[in-house]
Order: sequence, then structure tokens, then C-alpha cells
Amino acid sequence: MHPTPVDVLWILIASALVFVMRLGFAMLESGLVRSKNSINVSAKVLTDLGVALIAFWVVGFGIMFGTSWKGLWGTNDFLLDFGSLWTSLFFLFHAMFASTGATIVSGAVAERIRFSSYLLITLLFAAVIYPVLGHWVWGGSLTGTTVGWLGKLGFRDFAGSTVVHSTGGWVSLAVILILGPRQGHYNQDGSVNRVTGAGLQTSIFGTILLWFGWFGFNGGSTLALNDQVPAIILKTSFSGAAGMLTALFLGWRLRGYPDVSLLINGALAGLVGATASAPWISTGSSLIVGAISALVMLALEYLLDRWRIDDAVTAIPVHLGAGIWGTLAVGLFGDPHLLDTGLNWEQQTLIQLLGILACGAWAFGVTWGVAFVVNRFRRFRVTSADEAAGLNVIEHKASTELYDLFRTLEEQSRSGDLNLRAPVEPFTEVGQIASQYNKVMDRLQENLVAKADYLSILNNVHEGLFLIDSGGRIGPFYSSVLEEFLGSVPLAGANFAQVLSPLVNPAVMEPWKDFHDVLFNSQIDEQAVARLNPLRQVELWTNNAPGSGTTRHARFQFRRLTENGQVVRVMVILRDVSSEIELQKNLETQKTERESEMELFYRILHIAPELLVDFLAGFDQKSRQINLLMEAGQHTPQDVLKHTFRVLHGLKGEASLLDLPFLVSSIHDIENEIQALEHKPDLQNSDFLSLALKLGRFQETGRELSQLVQKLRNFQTNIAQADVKASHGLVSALEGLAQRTAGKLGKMVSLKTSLNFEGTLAREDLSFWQEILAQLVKNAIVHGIELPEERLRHGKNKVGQITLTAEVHDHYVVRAKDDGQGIDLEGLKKKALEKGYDPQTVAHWSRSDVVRFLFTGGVSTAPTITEDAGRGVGLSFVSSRLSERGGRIAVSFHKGHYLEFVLTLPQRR
Amino acid sequence: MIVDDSSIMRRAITKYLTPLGFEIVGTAGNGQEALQLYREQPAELVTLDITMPQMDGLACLQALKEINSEVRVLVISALSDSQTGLKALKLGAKSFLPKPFTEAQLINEIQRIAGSKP
Amino acid sequence: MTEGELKFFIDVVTEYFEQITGESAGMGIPYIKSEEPAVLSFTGLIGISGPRKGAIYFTAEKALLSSLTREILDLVDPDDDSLLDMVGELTNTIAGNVRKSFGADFLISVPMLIKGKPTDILMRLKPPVFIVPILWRKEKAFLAVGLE
Repeated sequence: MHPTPVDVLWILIASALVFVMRLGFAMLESGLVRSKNSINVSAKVLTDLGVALIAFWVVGFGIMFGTSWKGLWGTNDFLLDFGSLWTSLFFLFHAMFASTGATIVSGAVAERIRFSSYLLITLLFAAVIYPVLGHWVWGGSLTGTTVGWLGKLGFRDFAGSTVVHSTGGWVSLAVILILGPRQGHYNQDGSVNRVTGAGLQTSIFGTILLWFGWFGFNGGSTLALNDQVPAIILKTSFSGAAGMLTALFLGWRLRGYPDVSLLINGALAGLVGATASAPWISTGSSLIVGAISALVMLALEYLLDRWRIDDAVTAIPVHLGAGIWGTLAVGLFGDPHLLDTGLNWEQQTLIQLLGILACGAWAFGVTWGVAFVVNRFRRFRVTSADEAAGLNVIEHKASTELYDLFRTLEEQSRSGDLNLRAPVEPFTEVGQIASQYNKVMDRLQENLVAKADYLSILNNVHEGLFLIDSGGRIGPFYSSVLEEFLGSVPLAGANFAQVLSPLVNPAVMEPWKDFHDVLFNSQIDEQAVARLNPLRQVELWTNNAPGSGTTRHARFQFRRLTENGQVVRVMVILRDVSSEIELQKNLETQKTERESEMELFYRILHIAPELLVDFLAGFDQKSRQINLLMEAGQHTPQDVLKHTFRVLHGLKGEASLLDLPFLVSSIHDIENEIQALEHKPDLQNSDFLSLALKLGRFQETGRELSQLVQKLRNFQTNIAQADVKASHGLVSALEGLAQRTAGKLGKMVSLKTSLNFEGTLAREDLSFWQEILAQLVKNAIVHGIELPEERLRHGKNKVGQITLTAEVHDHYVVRAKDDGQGIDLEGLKKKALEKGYDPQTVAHWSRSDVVRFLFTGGVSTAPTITEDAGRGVGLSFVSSRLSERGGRIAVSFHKGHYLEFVLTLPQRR
Repeated sequence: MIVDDSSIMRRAITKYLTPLGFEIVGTAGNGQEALQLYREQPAELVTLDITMPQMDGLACLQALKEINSEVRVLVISALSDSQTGLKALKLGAKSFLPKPFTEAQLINEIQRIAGSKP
Repeated sequence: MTEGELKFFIDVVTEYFEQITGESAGMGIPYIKSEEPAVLSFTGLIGISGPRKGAIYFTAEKALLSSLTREILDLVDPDDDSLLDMVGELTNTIAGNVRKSFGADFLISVPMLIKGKPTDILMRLKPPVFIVPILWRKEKAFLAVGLE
């Protein structure tokens, strides 16, 4: 064969167009499968090009176009040497066909076949199945002869409806039967779960591209650019269009909407259908062929689903179904004249049918046989986990962002690990989804983790912890201990008061409603409310098992939880305080025991006396009141109790105010007793015994207290008397001093004392005055009182008189007067001159100046120094001691008649 | 103003509050006296005992509130009549101090109320 | 003074009535007496010494004692001496029971019988003095206990 350059160019272009179909297939199939498998499908489409091309060169071409052996297969031209232009062109075009046929399989078996298994099938297809069949139909066409047995019988298949498309379909069917349907594709009831393809738009692009490729596929099959080519392309396209519209409108009618997949498959079916007959049918027939192709495709798709034969991309209805139809259409619509087989249409149709059957038997049989055997050793199909994960990653480690997101979600659903976050691919939709998802997870985790923490706290605390709402209902979460307290009745949502009522003394719950009201009234001070908590301390009856009930002391605390200033819920804390109370009781007992009289005494000392006296008077009066009340016998026991309680309670308030805790606790004890009696059903007089005893003991304490106060009074009086005694001692001491001093000097003296310190004198004050008075007495005797004979001479009593008086008002006022010679002014002036005072100054001294001199140290008017006077320190000692303490001294005298010192001293506080 | 039927209580409260700079407008031994006193000399702050002869504290509180709804009342009463205390709060008492109380508690409570808005 | 002790004295008295007359006596609400004694016309008193000091007395009006005497002795109109004897009898019973039950800690004096209302009777009792009204046939008597 010697093609013209135009033919060469056309065959090259056609080859290129057929090659482009591969891109169409890749787009079509990857768009129809799920994105987790899209890469895998596309990869197969690319890979089988390589496999098919080499395999076809090594053996396929030889089998198909080599020298025929009995019309069954070729026997030479393996590893073809591209010696001539024609051979090369021919090979190129058919190699494209062979690989295209292989590609059909890739879509049908998608989403579950092992990649290696697919390669095996491709190899089988391109090296054996397709070439043998091709030999049968097209054998000899390299040299323009017909050598294949089908071809010689008159079987006609222009561009491969059977040879390429049906063969691809049969092989697909065989492999699918071995593989089985995809996971979850069919439901128990036979309904189909349609997969959501990765992108139908891609499939549409692919279809358009395939259609375009078909220009070369059919148009190139003339192997020359002759006048038939445009018509072939047009009729092919008409068939495609008819198929597409038929499927579209029928589907629209049946399904209610223009189904995109029908659009695609309808077009492809029409194109396939026209492939066998395009040159030999009329344009009108091409429309019919196309329309029926679509119907066949639809019917076969329906049947496959019925039979649960899962074809991932509807490849079998399109390629096998429409392929068979197209092949038959050669007989039905083909112009016998143009066919030039010498057969009428019936004969032709029968031959076509024979070819179809032969093709099916060969392609399906060989494939199924090989696949069945190989599948025994190595499963064709991937594991179900891998299938779920998707073949992109499993086979190629090629992940898509969607896949990553999916993996994260899947892992999360499996493990429940909330720490997982989806990978965020920037600038993609999936990335945005992932990012939002992560935010949701963050919040969820925050809440859940926080909640988990709370719940773990609630399960581990020893306190009963729960919330109540304004309706008094217990919240859904509470600490597990709570059930130990309140019983395991369903607590969530239960009314708190109703749950508690059977467990406590009924009286306890009486104020509950009021308390609940003020608790939820945010206007009322929470601290004040807390003080009125009726459940501050209650005896809680717990009934664990029949007959084994126990009581324990429980403390309820209530905390408001506010939102926008409103109390929405109240947190309740419930604690078992039994041991605390036990301990407290013990401590109190011990404390009371230790509350010795000394302590009582100490406390009394710290109470303002007037309050204490009032209190004791009130105590006495109230005790009598109680006694009389009980004695009178006119009141009901309940009244007696009530009144007693009231009176005692007043006393308790006062006792507490005065910080007399032993009385407070003792009253408290009695109050408890009274309350117990008040709530006692069938109250007997004998029940009052213990109360009477307690009252007795209490009144006794009060009496002791009174006695103690009395003792204190006595004590004070005794101290005062002791001081009086002490000052008596002072008087006799002074008396002794006066007589001793006078005796030594030969003077006679009588001491008259009136020292009214009235017991107010502290010991140190006493010694202070003792010293001063002693000085004054000595001074009076030594300097004032004259000798007896001299006194007689002056017409005085020979016994000198010294008078000491002391009075205490605000000040001590002490007077010391003697009826001696008074002060010798001139003598003192002389003394001053002797002492070296300036004579001029001394000459002008007034009375008071002289007296002041008297009190300076080292002056004595006594001529000789004796033990008692004359050292001149007596008066200065007195004056300095006095002034140290802010006292003053005044002197009055009349020479020859008397001398009086008046000492005033502020009382020390 | 101090309302309490116990003279010791009255004297003690007076004694405790005077050093804090409170001027004691007057003291009353029962509810009626208290109302009369309040009409003559309205006090900003009233301590009110509940259990009193003649007119009890709750009735007095109600009457005081009628005269002046802004009056700040500290109810001082026994812990055991928690129901009465709750009623007092509902009637508009500022706070409740249970007897027995100590000097520090009284001062703390009075200062809290004095510092609060009417 | 414990509740048990007080209860014991009361029981002795009430049981005495029950044993003698078949009609038990009840008790009123006990109370404490600090001033003038609850003394009726006839009184029997037992002094107690030893570690526990004080006294117990039973005192009753003529009507109750008359009733009681009539019950025991069939005396229609007993004279005062008989009534005093009656009180003495009751007091002796109390004393006997106390001696029996309280043992060495209670040194019991010879019961002292008093007619009329002596003022110094409280001096013998140690405060607090518990007075327990005894009710029998609508008549009233008192049991007074004042022990340390």
C-alpha cells in the first residue's frame, strides 16, 4: 500500500484524535468515581496506554495482522520492525485502537480492583484477546485482503463496535463478575446507592473530548482521506446526538429531571452504536441507530443493577450494549450494495450475530477463565478497609485534601479521640470545611473536656453538690455522693423539697417555701438570707436498707448563681457534719469543764459592771418568772414551753452580748430540749424532768455567778479594809517616830492624825506618803516644836501639838500643822548670807522668797545635825518628791504660833 | 433608732454604736413606741427586735415601711424563728442578725447596711 | 443531781400510792423553787449527808392525807397526829428505798415530821430545789428534792 501524503497526514491526525480519547476517558471516569478513587482511575487510563502499546507491539500486532493460520490468528510480525511508512502508519493507528479498548475496562472495574490485577487484564487484553478478535474480523487489512474467518464469512465491523467496544465490554463484565459489586453499592432490598462522583463537569468535558476523538476513530478507519470521511464523521455525530437526546428525554420523563449521567452515556452509546456501520447506513438510519443505542444502553444498565452487576461508570451498557446493537445495525440498516459482502440483509444480520457471539465467547471466556484462576492465588480485589479508604491513597499514596479530611473524620469516629484535627489546605473549599470543622471540634472539645472535668469532680467530691432552679428542681448533674444522702430515687429534675421532706423533721421544712422565695429574690441580701437557712444543720434520715436507717447531721449551704442580676439557679452544697458536730460537742464539753471559776472570774472582770449588775438582776428576775410560770400550773405544757423559751432566749441574747459563753451554751442546750419537747407527740409531765434539771443547773450557774460577783464585792471591800489597816499601821508608825524624835530632843509632842485615804491608797502610794509624812513630822518636831520650858515661857502647853490630816477628793490633800515657833525669817536670811547668797538680794527677799529658800537643798535651821533633822534635806526631799508627781506644796505660818504645810497631789489613774 | 424590749440590749447596742459615730435618735421597748418615735424623729437606720410585747417586730416593720419605704431596717432576732426572719426579709428588712450576736457582728452588719444603697 | 435520781424519787412516791390504794398517782410539771418553800400542812423531810448533801421532803394537804389514811386504816376522820403519821410512813418508805438503792453514798437522817409551814425548811435543801407536783385523786402534794 502506498498512501498519498494527504492520507498519511489524515491517519496521523486520526491517530492523534484517537489518542486524545484517552484524555476523554480519563476525564469521564475520574469524574464519575468518588474523589477518593479519582487519581487511581486516571492513573489506570495512563498506565494502560503504556502497557497496551508495548504489548501490542511485542505480540498483539503480529497476532492481529501477521500471516494467518487458518483465519484464527497471525503468526508473524511480532516485535514489528517499522520498515515501511504504511506499516508504521497502520501500526500507529491500530496501536491507538488497542490501547483505547483496554481503557474501557478501567472505568467499569473502578474503585475496587487491585492496580496490579488491572495491569494484568490490560496486558491480556492488548496482547491476546483484542488481537485475536481483530484478526478474525480485520485480519489481512494491512495488505488490503481479508483473511480472518469472520471477515471471510462477510462479518462487517467498520471501526470496532464489536472488535473494540464490545470486546472491552465483555472483558469488563468478566472482571466485574469476579470482583463483585463495590461495598455498600447495593442495599438488601436491591436498591442502588448511587455514588456521588468527584465531578460530573469533568465527565462532561471528557465526553465532549471523546466525541471529538471519535472523529478520528471512525473517520480515520477508512485509512485514507476519501470523500466518505466527512459523512462518516457526521453520521457518527448524528448517532451520538440521537443517542444523547433519546437518553436525556426518556430519562427526564422517567426520572423527572435531565440526568447528566444519561446525557453522557446516551451520547457515548450513540457514538459506539454508529461505529460499526457509519459508512454503510443512511443519515436517517444513523439517527435511529443512535436512538436505539441509547435505549439498549438504558435497558442494559437497568438489567445490570437488577442482577447486581456493579459497573462503576456504566461502561458495559455503553460499550457492550451499544456495541452489539451497532454491530447488528450493520445488517439491519446497512446498504448491502455498499457492504459488498454478497449477502442480503437477513444473511448479513445473522453473520453479524454470529460475530457478536464469537466475540462474546472469546473475550468473556478467556478473561473470566484467566481472572478466575489468578484470583484464586491473588485476589483481584483490594481489602474492604482499603476500598473504604479509597484507592488513591492505598495504591498510590496520593491523597487529596478531601481524603485527608475524610481520614480524620473516620479516625475520629473510630477512636473517639477529640484531639484530632483535620488538615487544613489553604485556599480550597475542603480546606475551609476542615478549618470550620476544626473550630467546631475546638468548641466541642472545650465543652466536652470541661464537662468531663466537672463530671469527674462531681463523681469524686465528698459533698453533695447540685443546682436547683427557681422551680426548686434539682439539675441534671449532681455529685454521686448526693444519692448517698438523699437516696437513689431519680434526682435529676425532682423537686428538692419533696425529696428532702421524708428525710427530715417536718418542722425543718416549714420555712422552706419562704426561704426558697427569698433565695431567688436577688433584691434581698444574700448574707442575710444565708443566716436564715433552715437547713443550715439538720438531722438527715438515711434509709439505706430496711431497718438499717441512720441519722446523720447534714449541712446545706446555698449559693446564688446569677445571670444579668437575676438569680437563675442556686448551687447547693450538702455536707455530712456528723463528725464535726461530735467533735464540737466534745470540745464544748471539755471547754465547759475547763471553764473554771478563774475563767468565769476573768470574764466577769471584762464586763462593764453596770451591764453585769443589770444582767444578773434580769437573770434572777427571769429565772423566777420561769419558775412561777411552771409552778402556777394554769398554762398548758405547750404554753409553758413557749414562754420559757422566749424568756430564756432573751437571756441568751444578753449573755452572748456580755460574752458569757458558758451561759449561752447552757441556754442553748435548754432551748434544744424545749424544742424537742414541743415537737414531741403525746407530751407527758414526766418528760419535763430533764428540762427541769437543766433549768435547775442553769439557775444554779446564775446563782454561782451572783455569788462570784458578791465575792468580788467582798474582796474589794476587804482590800479597802486592808488598806485602812495599812494606814492604821502608818499612823502608829508616825506616832512612834514622833515620840522617838521628841524624846531624843527632850521635847514633848502629841500627834493627832486623821488620814482618810479610805482604802483608795495603793501600796506604793502608801509608802510614798509614809516617807513624806515622816519628813513632815520630823521637821515639825526638830524645827517647829520648842522645848517644854520654852513653850511654857511663851504661855503654850508644854506638849507640842502636831496635826496630820489627809483627804481624798480629786486630789490628795494632806495637811501637816504644828504649833511650834513657825518660821524664823531673819534666821533664814542669815543662813542664806552664810551660804554665799548676795546680801543685796537677800535684803530684798519677800516672805515667799524666804520660804522658797527653805525648800532648797542644804538648808536647815537646826543648829546641829542630828539623825532626824538638821541635814537640811527634809523639806527639799518633800518638795522634790511632790513635784515629781505633779503635786504642790503651800506653806502658811505665824511666827511663834504655828506652821502649816498643805500638800496637794493629783490622784493617779 | 434601736427597738428592743430588753433594756440591756438597748443599752449595749447604744454603747457599741455610739463610738462608730452613729447618732442614736432614740430607743423604744416595743413596736408602738417605735412607731411614735419614728414619726417624731425619722431615723435612717433602725434595729428592730421581733419578739416584743404589744406590737411585735413584723407589724412594726410593716408600719415603718408604710411611713417610709426607704427606711433601712436591721432585724435582730432569734435564729430559731427563721421563718419570722424570712418574713421580715420579704417585708423589706435590709438584713437579719440572729441573736445571740457579738459586738463585732453587730458592728459589721450595721456598717454593711449603712454603706448599702437605700 | 441526775434525771435518774429525780425520777427514782418520783417513782417511789407514785408507786407507793399505787401499791397502797391501787390507784396510781401522776406527776405534774416539775419546776424549780428558789424562794418560799412549797410547803403544805403536813411535811416529812429526810436529810441527806455524806458526799451528797441536801434533803428531800414530801408535803401534802389534809384532804389528800385523809383520803390516804382512810384507804389504809379505815379511819373515817383521822386526827392531825394520824395524818402526820401518814406522812411519816410515806417519808420512811422513801428513805428506805433510797437507802436500798443508792447505797453508801447517801447517809440518811431520821425523817423529820413537820406540821404547819416552817420558814427555814429550804435551808436544809441544797439549791436548785426541784418541786414535783404529785396528783392523786384530784388532790395535790409536792415532792421536793434539793441535793447537791
